[in-house]
Amino acid sequence: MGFPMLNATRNVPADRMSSSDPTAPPNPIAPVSKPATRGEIPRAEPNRPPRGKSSRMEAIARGESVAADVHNALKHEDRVLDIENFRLWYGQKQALFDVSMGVPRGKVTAIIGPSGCGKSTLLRCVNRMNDLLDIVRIEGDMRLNGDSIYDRKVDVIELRKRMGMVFQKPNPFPMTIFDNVVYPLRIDGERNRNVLAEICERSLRGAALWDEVKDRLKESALGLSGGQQQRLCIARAIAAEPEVLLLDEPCSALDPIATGKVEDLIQELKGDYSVLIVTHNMQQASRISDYTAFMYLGRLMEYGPTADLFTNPHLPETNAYVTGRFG
Amino acid sequence: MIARGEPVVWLTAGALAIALFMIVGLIALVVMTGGSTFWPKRLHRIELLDGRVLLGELTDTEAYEFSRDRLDALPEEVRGAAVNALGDQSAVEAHRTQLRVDNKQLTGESYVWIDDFLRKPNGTSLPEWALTIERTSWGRFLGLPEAFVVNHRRLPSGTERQLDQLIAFLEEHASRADDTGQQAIAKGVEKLREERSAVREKGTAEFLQTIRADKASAERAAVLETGDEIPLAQVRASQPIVAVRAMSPGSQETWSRFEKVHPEVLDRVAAIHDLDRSGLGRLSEGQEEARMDVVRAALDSEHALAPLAQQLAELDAVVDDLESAAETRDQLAAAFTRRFGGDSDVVHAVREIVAELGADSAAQRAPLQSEIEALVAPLSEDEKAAVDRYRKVVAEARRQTVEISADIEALRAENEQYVLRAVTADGQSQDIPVAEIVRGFPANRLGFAERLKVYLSRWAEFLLAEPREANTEGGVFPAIWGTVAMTLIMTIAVVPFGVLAALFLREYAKAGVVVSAVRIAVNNLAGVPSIVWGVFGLGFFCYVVGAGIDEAFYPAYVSENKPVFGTGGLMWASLTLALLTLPVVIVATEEALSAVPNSMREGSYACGASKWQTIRRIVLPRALPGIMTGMILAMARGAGEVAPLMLVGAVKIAPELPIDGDAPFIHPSRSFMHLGFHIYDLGFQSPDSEAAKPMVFTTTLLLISLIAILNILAIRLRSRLRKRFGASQF
Ligand SMILES: Nc1ncnc2c1ncn2[C@@H]1O[C@H](COP(=O)(O)OP(=O)(O)OP(=O)(O)O)[C@@H](O)[C@H]1O
Ligand SMILES: [Mg+2]
Repeated sequence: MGFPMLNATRNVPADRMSSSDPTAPPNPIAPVSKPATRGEIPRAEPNRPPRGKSSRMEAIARGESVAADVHNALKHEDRVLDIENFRLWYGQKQALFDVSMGVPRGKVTAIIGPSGCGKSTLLRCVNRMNDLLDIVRIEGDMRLNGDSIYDRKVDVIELRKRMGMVFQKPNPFPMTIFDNVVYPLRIDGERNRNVLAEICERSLRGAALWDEVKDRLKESALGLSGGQQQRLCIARAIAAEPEVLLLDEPCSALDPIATGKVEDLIQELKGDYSVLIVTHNMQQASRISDYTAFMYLGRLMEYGPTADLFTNPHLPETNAYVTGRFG
Repeated sequence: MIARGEPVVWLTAGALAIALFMIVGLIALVVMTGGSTFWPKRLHRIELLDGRVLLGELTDTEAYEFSRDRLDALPEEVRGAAVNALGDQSAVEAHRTQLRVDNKQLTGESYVWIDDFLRKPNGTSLPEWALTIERTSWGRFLGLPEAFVVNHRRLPSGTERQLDQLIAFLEEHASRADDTGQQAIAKGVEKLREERSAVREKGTAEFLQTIRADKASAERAAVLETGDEIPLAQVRASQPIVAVRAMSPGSQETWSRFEKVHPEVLDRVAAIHDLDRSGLGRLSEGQEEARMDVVRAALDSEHALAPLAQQLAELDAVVDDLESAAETRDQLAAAFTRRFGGDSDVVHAVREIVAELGADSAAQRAPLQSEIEALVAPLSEDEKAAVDRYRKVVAEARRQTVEISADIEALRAENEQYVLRAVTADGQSQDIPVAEIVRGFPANRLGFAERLKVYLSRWAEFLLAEPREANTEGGVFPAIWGTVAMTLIMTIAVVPFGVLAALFLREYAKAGVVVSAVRIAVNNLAGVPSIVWGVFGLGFFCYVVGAGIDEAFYPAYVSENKPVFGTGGLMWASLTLALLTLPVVIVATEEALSAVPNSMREGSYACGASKWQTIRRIVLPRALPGIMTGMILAMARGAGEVAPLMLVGAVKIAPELPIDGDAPFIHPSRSFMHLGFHIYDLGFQSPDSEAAKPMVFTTTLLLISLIAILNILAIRLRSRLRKRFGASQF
C-alpha cells in the first residue's frame, strides 16, 4: 500500500517547533515551511471583520479551501502532533481539505462537527489506520514530535504502538479480560507474567474498571457489558503507555454513569497523555477538553481554547453549531 | 393461515416435512433392519404338502398374484391344493412366506419362499431343541441335536513309541545285513514285538479303566486300528484300541455336553489362531525381511543373489535333514545297546547298518557341501553376510516351524475329539466338529434375557472380530479401524491445508478478478465426481509420488516388483480424500474468516499488531468454531466416501491393520479395509446377496453411527471452544 507523500522529505528542526522560541513565526500552528505550490495559509486575525456566512459557505460549496480560524492561545502550546495541509480522498471523493492543526502536548483536544465532516477520518489518519483501506489516497503530512508519520521509512507498527486508540464501538478481542488488556504487550513479546499482571492491574485501575473485574480476569471479555467493554478498550489503549490517545466518540454507546466514569478517566489521564477526542456531545467537549476544533465538510473551521470556542466563537458557523442551530 | 394469506408457510413447511420424512424413513429403515439382524429368531418347522419338511427363521411374508398358468410349474402332489386355492378364478391373491433355512451346503440355498396354500394344515411347529449353529465355514446350520460324540484317543506311552521306532528301523534296514545278521535281526524283531504287545496291553487296560470309570450315560464303542468299531463291553485288553467313541444321545444330553465343552474348545481355537499369527506369521515375516536384505545387497552386485540365497537355503535344508537323520540313528543304536547288551548279535548287525548308512549319508553330503562352497565362493564379504543371514533365518524358521506346527497339531487333535451330531429337518445327519462352531443355541428355548445375551454377543463379535467367510460372517473390526484411521489422517491433512489456503484468499490476497476466479474454481472443485479424485490419487499419489518415494528409498522392493508406496495405501487414500474435501474446508473457513468483525482486526492493528499477529491471535481463534464446522462437514463427507478409495487403497480383506502395535505403529503404505467399501463388497460382490443383505444394513448402521460419533466429538470440541471465547453469536 503506497501513498503519495508529498512532504516525505520535508524536515523541520525540532527547535523551531517549540513555542518557547521567541523567533517562532506568528502562526506556530500552521506549517512552518511548505512547498511554493501551496497557497499561503492565512493567519488567524481575531480583529478581522468576520466574513459573511453565505460567502464562506459558498466558497466551501465550490470546493475551495477556506482558511481556518485558529485562536492565538494555541501558539503558546507545546505541540505533540502537527497536522500539515492534510488532504484525503476516498477514491474520487475528497474527504479532508487542507487540514492543518497542532495538537498540544498533555492536553485534551476535542474535535466536533456535524456527522460526516471527516472527524473519524482525520483521527484514523493519525495512526495510519487508513493504510488498511485500499481506496484511500492522501496528500500532506503529519508529524509526531517533529518526525514525519507518513514518511516512507516509518515503521507503521512501531508508530501505532506509540498511540492508543479507542473506537466508537467497543471492540474487545475474543479472549479473557486479562489477555485483552495485555494484548499490546504480548504482541510486543513480553512474557513475564508478573510484569503483565502488574500492567494489567494498573491499566484496569486507570480505566476505572479494576474493582468490577478483578475477580474475573480469566473470564471472556465478551461477557462484559457495553460500558465495561469500552473501558476495557481504554485500558487496553493505555496498557502500552502511548504518547497520544486517540478517542473516537468513546462514550456514544454508554449510559450517563459510564460516560461520567470515562470522562473522569480522561481528566485523570490528561497530563500524562495527550488526548485527541472526537465527540458529538457539546457538553462533554466543554467539560473535558482544553481545546476544541470545529470541522465542517472536511475542513477545519475554527480551533481554539474550549471556553472561547463555546462562549465566544469567531465564526458565525461555529456559533451556529455550538448553539445547536445547525449541524 | 391461508386466511391470513400465508400459503408460503405451507409450501415451506411441506418441503421440510418431505425432507424430514425421507431422512427419518431412511434412518429408521437402516436402524430397524440393521439393528434386528442379530436378534436370534425362533426356528419354525414347516411341513409341506409335497412331503418336504423345512426348519428355519421366518424372515418375510408377501402377497402376490397366483395365476392359473403357473399351475404346470408345480409338482404333481401339490397341484390339487393349488387348484383348490384357485377355485374357478383365473388368478387369486396368494400369500407366501420367506424362510431362512441355511444349511447351504446341503440344500444349495439359504432362503426359500413357500406358498401358504402348500403348507400342511397344522404342519407348523416350534421344535423345542431346534439349534442355530454358527460355524467358521459353510455358514449356519439349523437342525436338531442327535448326539454328542467324544473320541477318547488312547495315547501310546513313550516305551511303546520307542519300540515302534526300533521295530520299524530293523524291518526297514534288515536287507542291508548279511545272513547271520539277518537272522539275529529277525530274532530281535520277534523279541521287540512281544515286548510291545505287553506294553500295549497294559496301556490299553489302563485306558479302558479310566474310560469305564466315567459312569456318564453314553453309548461307547472302541475304535480298532483297522477302523472297525466294537461295543466297549466286548473289548479285550489285547485288542489294539486306537480310541473309544462315546456317544451321548438325546437332545438334552447332547446340548449340555456341548455347552460344557464348547468354551475350552474355543480357547484352544484362539490359541491355535495365536500360534498361527504370532508364531508362523512372524517367522515368515522374518524370512521375508532377510530375503529383502539379500535383494538389497543384490542391487549393486553382479550376482543374482536372491535365487542364489534361495538355492543355498534349500541345500542347507537337505544337509540339515541328513545330519538329523544321522543323529536319530545314533540314538537308536544306543537304544539297541541298552536293550540287547553291547555284544549281542543284533547290536553288531545294527552297528554295521548304522555305519553303512553313515557312510552313505556322508557320501551324499560331501558333494552338497562342496556345491555350497562353490556357490558362496565368488561372493564379496557384504554379499556373503546378507546371504548367510538369510540362510540362518531360514534354518531357524524351519526348526521353529516344526515345533510350532507340533503344538498346533496337538491342540487340533484335542479339539477334534469333540463332535456334535445333528440332524436336519428332513432327516440328514451331520457331524459338526465342535471346533468349527462359533456360537450355538437352542433358538426356541431361549428366554428374553438369553436372547439378549446372544444378540449382544453377536454385536460384540461384529464390532471386535475379524471377518470370515468372504466377509459375510464374523466382524468388521479391521474395517472400523481402517475407516477411523483414514478419516483422522485425512482430517489432519485437510484442515491445516484448507485453513492456510483460505487465509491467503481472505486475508492476504487483494480482492480482484484473480481471487474471484480462484474462489469460483475452488467451489467448483466440490462438484468434481469423487471417482475422478480416485483416478487422480492413483495417477498422482501412487504412480508419481509413491513411485518416486519407492525409487529413492525402497529400490529393493522396486526390483522385486513389489511397490511399497507406489500402490494404494492408507496414506494415499487419506490424501486423496483430503483433496476431495478441501473445498469444503476452504469455503467454511472463508465464511468463518469473513464473519470476524473488522472492528476486531482494526483494534488489533491499532495496538500495533502485525498482520500475522492479528490473524493468529484474533482472527483465527474467533474463526475457529467456523473452521471446526468445516472440519466436521469434511469428516462426514470423507468417511462416507467409497468410490475413490477403491482405486487408492481400500481392499476387501487386509491381512494387517494400518495402525497397530508393531513399530512404527502407523503404516502409511498398508492397504486397509473400509466400512463403505465393505458395504459395497457385501452387497454387490458376495456370492449370496440374499444372505448378505442383513449384514449390509448392519454395516450401514455402523458406518452411520461411526460418522455420528466422530461428528459428536467434533461438535463437543467446538462448543467447548465457543464457551472459551464466551461468544454466543457464532
Ligand atoms: N471507507 C470509506 N469509504 C468511502 N467513504 C468513506 C469511508 N469512510 C468515510 N467515508 C466518507 O468520508 C466522509 C467522512 O466520514 P467520517 O467517518 O470521517 O465522518 P465523521 O465525521 O466521523 O462522522 P460521524 O460523526 O457520523 O462519525 C463521509 O462523507 C463518509 O461518507
Ligand atoms: Mg465518526
